[in-house]
Amino acid sequence: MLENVLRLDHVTMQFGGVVAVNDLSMEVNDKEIVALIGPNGAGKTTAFNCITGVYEPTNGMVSFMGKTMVCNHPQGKMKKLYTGDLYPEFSHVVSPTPDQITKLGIARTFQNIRLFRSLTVFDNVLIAKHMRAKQNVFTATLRLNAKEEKRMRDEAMALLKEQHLEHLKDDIAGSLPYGLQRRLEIARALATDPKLLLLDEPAAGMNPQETKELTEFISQIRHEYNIPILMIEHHMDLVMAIAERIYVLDFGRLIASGTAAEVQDNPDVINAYLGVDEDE
Amino acid sequence: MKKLSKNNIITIALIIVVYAIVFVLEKVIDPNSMLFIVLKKGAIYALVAVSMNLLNGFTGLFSLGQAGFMLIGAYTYAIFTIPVEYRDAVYQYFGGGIVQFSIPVIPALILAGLVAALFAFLIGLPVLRLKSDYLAIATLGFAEIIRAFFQWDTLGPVTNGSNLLRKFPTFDSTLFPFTVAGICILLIVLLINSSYGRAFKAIRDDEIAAEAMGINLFKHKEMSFVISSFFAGVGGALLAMFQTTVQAMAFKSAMTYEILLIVVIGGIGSVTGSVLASFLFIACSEWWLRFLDAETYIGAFKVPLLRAGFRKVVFSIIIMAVVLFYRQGIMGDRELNFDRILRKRQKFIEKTQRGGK
Repeated sequence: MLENVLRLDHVTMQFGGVVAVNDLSMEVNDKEIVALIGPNGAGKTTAFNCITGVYEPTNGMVSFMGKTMVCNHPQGKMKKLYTGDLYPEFSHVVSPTPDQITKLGIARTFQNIRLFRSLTVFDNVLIAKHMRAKQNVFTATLRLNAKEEKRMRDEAMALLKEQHLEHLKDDIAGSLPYGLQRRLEIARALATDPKLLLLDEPAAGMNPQETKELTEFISQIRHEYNIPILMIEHHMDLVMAIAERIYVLDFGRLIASGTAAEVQDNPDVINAYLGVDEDE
Repeated sequence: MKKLSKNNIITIALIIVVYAIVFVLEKVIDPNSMLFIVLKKGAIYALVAVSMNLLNGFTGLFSLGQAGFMLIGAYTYAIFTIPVEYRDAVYQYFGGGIVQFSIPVIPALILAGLVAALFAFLIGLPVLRLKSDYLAIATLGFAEIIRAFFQWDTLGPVTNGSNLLRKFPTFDSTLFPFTVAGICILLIVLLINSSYGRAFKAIRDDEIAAEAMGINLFKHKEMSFVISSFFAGVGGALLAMFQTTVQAMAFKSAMTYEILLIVVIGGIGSVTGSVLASFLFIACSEWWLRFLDAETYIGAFKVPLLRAGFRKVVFSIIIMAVVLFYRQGIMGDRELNFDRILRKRQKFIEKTQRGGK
């Protein structure tokens, strides 16, 4: 039996009357690559945002490494508007902010690349080390944390070397070509020492050649760092090539899950992507 | 101890030279000369401008409360340093005031910063949850409230109501504001280049990404706000010493705009830019452009346009020109870097040599 690293239980995210994610339950096991797919507007990124603390789900629970990380039930105005099922076990509210979740060990990248554009490649990676450093603002200003600072720099440099980005270390992040910006964003996420990596459309806007390189890059990360990866992706080549399990969302609802082959032949999935033929 | 880079050595040498020049000038030139007024006020404004740049340029928080924090610093300094024997005279309408002791200058400067920082901490709790323009409006409003508050008669025994505070210790030598401002700016530069400075810049570049990198947004914004206000408070105290009197009336929002202007002209995100721009700005407004305000005759010919207030017209035009055509300011977001200058010089020499052959 594999251990659950991440587990979503009946997660619902409702904005006013719009249900973006509806009763989603899924899990990511250790050392596994899982893909979350679905047509545009299916609620994939919203699901990501519920996991990473950007949104507080209306109802449901997210647990990470066996511990409850996010747990919520409808409150306030949502009590009336909420249309889904209620689960009495989700009565208490736990909702850490994104920085706390990153500290727990979930790192993410963004659909539209969010680098620190005016900083160098090296600084981009170095910033990820800030949260775990043993220092305060006085020791840092007066340079009493020299050892800690050196450790952070060495770690960041080692990571850049592993990712073959060290020759770019003094370049401004915003000036890098698109493909490298993607790589850097993933490297930066890895610098937070994650136990789970979330990738939001890593291959968006890439040509077939770049996508192929990215596919290799992602499976390489899984081998080198031994961490599970959950990704949202539209490129079916990439998904079919490396994802061990796939969850398919449509209109916020989970319509299918399983291995690539199982999902490919599922009639619901075909309908969701191609539409239902009225005549049949 | 790690070896200092060439850039650091030249920078340190240059700073020492500047201080030495100021020291020598004071021995040579008449101390009441306009030059020293500009240097003193310029140093004080440089400190305040750098503290504002820490907030606006490096953390990306558009705050307009600087004059308010300077006011707090100036009053704190004045209230705690007026010698006991003068208190009856200064607080003549309030029975000598209720503070009946005084502390030395340096602790009073630090206290001025700490009180400003304390106010910033309390104000920051609600205000820093706002973004961009809303934060600017809230901090501007706060500065105006503080100004009115310090003129309130009921607080007279402490703040002397709307009357002047005076007779507190001041400085004669230009080196005093230069040294205090220099130390403060050095601390800010060290902060900006530390791990926390990187976190501030990350927040400026992309808040959402910074949060995803494990940076606690609120904690770091509050930190930047409090530290910036601390140094604005020290700057306010220095300004009080420079002016020899303190009155809440003087700390109008126009003062904040002057500082904002220095930051913009110098380059948002550049400490050296702020320092250079502040001396330039003070020199222009106090000295170089003064002739525009005086009616001038060349023989019998009266030079047109020159009259009281014309300086401000010219000044506004210069500012508009800067904002329209030179949006990056003097330095952009770069610092004075001698490595780069040396490299450029090397390239230039090589080029001319090749051209010569």
